[in-house]
Amino acid sequence: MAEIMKVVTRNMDVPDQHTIAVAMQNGAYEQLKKALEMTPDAIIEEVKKSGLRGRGGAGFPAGLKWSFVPKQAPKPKYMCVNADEGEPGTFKDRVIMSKDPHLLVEGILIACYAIGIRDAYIYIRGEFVEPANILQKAIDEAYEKGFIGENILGKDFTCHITVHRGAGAYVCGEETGLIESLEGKRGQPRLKPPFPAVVGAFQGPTVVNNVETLANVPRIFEHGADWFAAIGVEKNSGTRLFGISGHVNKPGVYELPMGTPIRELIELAGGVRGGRKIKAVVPGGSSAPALTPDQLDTQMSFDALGAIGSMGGSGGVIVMDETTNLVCVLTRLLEFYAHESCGQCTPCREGVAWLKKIMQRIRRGQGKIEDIDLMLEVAGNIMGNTLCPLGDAAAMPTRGFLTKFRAEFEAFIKSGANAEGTPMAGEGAVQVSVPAAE
Amino acid sequence: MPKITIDGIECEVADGLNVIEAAKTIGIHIPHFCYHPALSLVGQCRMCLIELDPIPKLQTACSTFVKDGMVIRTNTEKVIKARKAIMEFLLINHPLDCPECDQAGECDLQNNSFEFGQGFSRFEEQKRTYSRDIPVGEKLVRIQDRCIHCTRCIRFFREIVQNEVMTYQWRGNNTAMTPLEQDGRRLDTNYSGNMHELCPCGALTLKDFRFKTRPWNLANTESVCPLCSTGCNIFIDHKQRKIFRIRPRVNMDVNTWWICDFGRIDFGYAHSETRIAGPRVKGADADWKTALDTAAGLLKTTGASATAILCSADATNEEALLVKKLAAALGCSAASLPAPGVDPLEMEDHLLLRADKAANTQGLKALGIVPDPALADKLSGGAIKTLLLINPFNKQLAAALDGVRDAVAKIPNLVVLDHNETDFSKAAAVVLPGAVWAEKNGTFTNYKGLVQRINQAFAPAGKARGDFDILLALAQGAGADIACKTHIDAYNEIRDDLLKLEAQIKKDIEALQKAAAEAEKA
Ligand SMILES: Cc1cc2nc3c(=O)[nH]c(=O)nc-3n(C[C@H](O)[C@H](O)[C@H](O)COP(=O)(O)O)c2cc1C
Ligand code: SF4
Ligand code: SF4
Ligand code: FES
Repeated sequence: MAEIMKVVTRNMDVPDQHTIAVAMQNGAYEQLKKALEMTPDAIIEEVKKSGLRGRGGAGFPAGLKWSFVPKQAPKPKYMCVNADEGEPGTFKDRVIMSKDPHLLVEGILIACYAIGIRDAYIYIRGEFVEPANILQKAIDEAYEKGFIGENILGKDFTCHITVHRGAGAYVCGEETGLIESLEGKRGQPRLKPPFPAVVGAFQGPTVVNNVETLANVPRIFEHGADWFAAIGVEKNSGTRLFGISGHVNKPGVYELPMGTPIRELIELAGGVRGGRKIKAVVPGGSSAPALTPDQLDTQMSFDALGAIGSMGGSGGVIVMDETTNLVCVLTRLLEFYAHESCGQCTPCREGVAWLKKIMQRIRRGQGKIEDIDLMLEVAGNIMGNTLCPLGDAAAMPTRGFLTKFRAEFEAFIKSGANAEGTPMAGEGAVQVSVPAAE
Repeated sequence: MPKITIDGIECEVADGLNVIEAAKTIGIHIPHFCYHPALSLVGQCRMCLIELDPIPKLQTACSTFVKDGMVIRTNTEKVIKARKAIMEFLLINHPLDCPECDQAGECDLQNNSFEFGQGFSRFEEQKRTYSRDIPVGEKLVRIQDRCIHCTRCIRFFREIVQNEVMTYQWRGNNTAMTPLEQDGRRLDTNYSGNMHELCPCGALTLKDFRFKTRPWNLANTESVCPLCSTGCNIFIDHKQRKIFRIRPRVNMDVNTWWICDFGRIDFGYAHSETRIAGPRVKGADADWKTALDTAAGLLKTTGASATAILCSADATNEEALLVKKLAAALGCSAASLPAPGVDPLEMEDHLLLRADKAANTQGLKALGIVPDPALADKLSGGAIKTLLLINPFNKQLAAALDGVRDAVAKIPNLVVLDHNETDFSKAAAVVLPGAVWAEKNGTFTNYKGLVQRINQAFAPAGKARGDFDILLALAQGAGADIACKTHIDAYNEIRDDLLKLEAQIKKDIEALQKAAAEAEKA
């Protein structure tokens, strides 16, 4: 069975690790000192060599992203730390920020030094009141100690970090939506190109990185890129903080090497509650198409999950046991995505709400068998045609559930059952008997 | 010049074009809603999706700029399917109330649906609705149910008018384009009417035009707006000798895509109750022959120094030529009055409106009819006994006459040529009913010296006659031998003078701009 591997979470169980005194006893800011002796280019090379890929969802190589930022730019450059953590099933960044905020701050500083950035914004989900307070306190302490601010550690490096609280919109986690919101505008994604690395926040070149991505950076300098690259599987190096929720006995955040099979994570999380069978597992946040029980040996890496038509995504794993009513699940998901659509582009604004309305009708017991094909077509018409990936994020799980679990949707429609207002799973959930596949 | 291939056709197009514009140059239409050449790119409607080799995902043509070697496909199955999908999405919540919608017949949504959509709906759910008929300022009415969320309105007000009177409200499927209020009043602009054309569907309708007629019943005459010296190019849309609306006609050298709301809406004087019904002599109705003979006779009675012609700058160039000839025959002066506060290069706003509220100040100047500051004194001092007053209804001339109103009304031999009644026409010895601009042929010279053609949309109302014909009769009556019998003859006679002025003004403007640019640098 897989073992927990504490790289990012190494000190998170240490009492008061969030205070700078304790954090420094455990080596906080040592890697910043080391990095400031290196040239910015050498730092970017080291991160590239480590193979660190973005933990926000897309798995984009971090070092490569940093190298896209023009060295000389007429406008100031910015770092936006994506702490919006809006993807349903995802709750790992809040742990980092609450338990070891200095690790994140150190990662931000190293990245800013490497890219030549003087201003970093941490865009934190509005609901994260406590993590935001802890983070702010940590930043204040780091300012006092001279790790943030003018001429950090006496070097020619100045960097300021500001915590900016969001107001509660999933789409503000999309990097350009985040930037618009940060600028005080309506949080809606921008048309790309230009990409943020060229024109981002306040018109300046901007790097958007996830909290976990940056929290890995100090570790890369502590142990070396080769050490980091050796963890996990090929092209998917390092660990991930998997947040597992749903019908397991011990839900929570588990740090495991990338590429660990899903089954082993579920076992670590104490297995399925009540010893029930698994019906479906979402492997990387709600946008990732769910896996069937026969797919649970898949490695949790960006590439392996991509290869079977799902995604590594945000690392949020949602386990659904056999009592789960997938009609209710998909309806709830579509209610979420329709609610979170910013509304600027046609396929997402109109299509996702349409899907939601069809699912709500099906859940009321007024569905027709043809609705399934209609939904598949509508989802297909959204896929790839939207301005930002939120439309895809709604279409992908729709297609996933409707194709992989079609028999259950058909059986529900035929039964005429009404599941409005019923629990999604467990006691009280509407159960339909699904004829066994031939 | 990049070489690109669109649907197998190789072509060379100008640098910096997006694929919509590039395709247009070879006659390929890429449907679109949110894109407009005057507005920022947002890529929101997704109607313009095309295939761009070798990218697997469809790309938006509006935000794809031509590069050498680009291979673009607009007619593949994938593109056709995507367009169908977008049309379907746009219509699922649309009320499909074309039969009662003013936009029908000139609606991008309707046209694109016809060409690229499908004739049926698969949507069985409840449609989204908003409250209907919300005013946006004084001139527009919003029917949000019809809106396709292209955000042209928001961008137009923000970027072109620079007065944000509309914004988004709510989000996702419920997003609405909402007029803003201040102190309980909806905000308004002088350019709001442009949304009548710019909104690609019937979501923003022009209050002035709502429910009046179908656009396909209207004849469209190309003309120029007479309400200020910008000379915006327009269509006069009319039916049965009545104007129903004025629309901008694109001219990148003058008004680009827009006109102001005054030019769009203030045409009521063409059909007003106060149009002069027929010729009058000493307050009594007369026939044209009597009126013209009497006028010609009066103009010759008091001798050149006590006679004057005072003309508004709404006269066409051709009419102005006849004014000159008439003055020459009478030996008197022909002038206008200085309008208070008119500087030919001073803009009244950043967009189109100019302080000079007459159509043809520059043209009159080219022909030597210029403001005469001494004339006002002569009028008030009673030195003028005979006056041909042309078009005192014009706002600018009316303002200039303000101080001498009573004196002019008392002039014994007052002949007024105008289309609408004024205090002057009521006091005149002879009244000659003339035409409004929509009833005339001729040219105006705008503030930049550009000579622009106006075309007659319909014949002068009732007994009125064209000013050109009236002036021709007066000049002939005064004994002048006039070769030019039509506005075209007249134009040919003055063409060189007008073009000379145009070149001169162009040079002046360039010099001024250069000086301004240098001053800015320094
Ligand atoms: C709808 C949507 C929501 C997203 N939400 C988040 C989020 O909450 N946190 C996050 O880190 N990335 C989120 N992303 C991904 C970001 O756009 C971006 O790719 C990421 O922050 C980049 O960081 P990384 O390269 O370090 O992964 C979201 C993307 C989309 C399309
Ligand atoms: S895909 Fe959805 S969230 Fe993204 S821009 Fe379009 S409407 Fe907004
Ligand atoms: S009101 Fe018209 S212009 Fe404005 S967003 Fe809607 S469709 Fe577009
Ligand atoms: S015209 Fe290209 S997306 Fe609207």
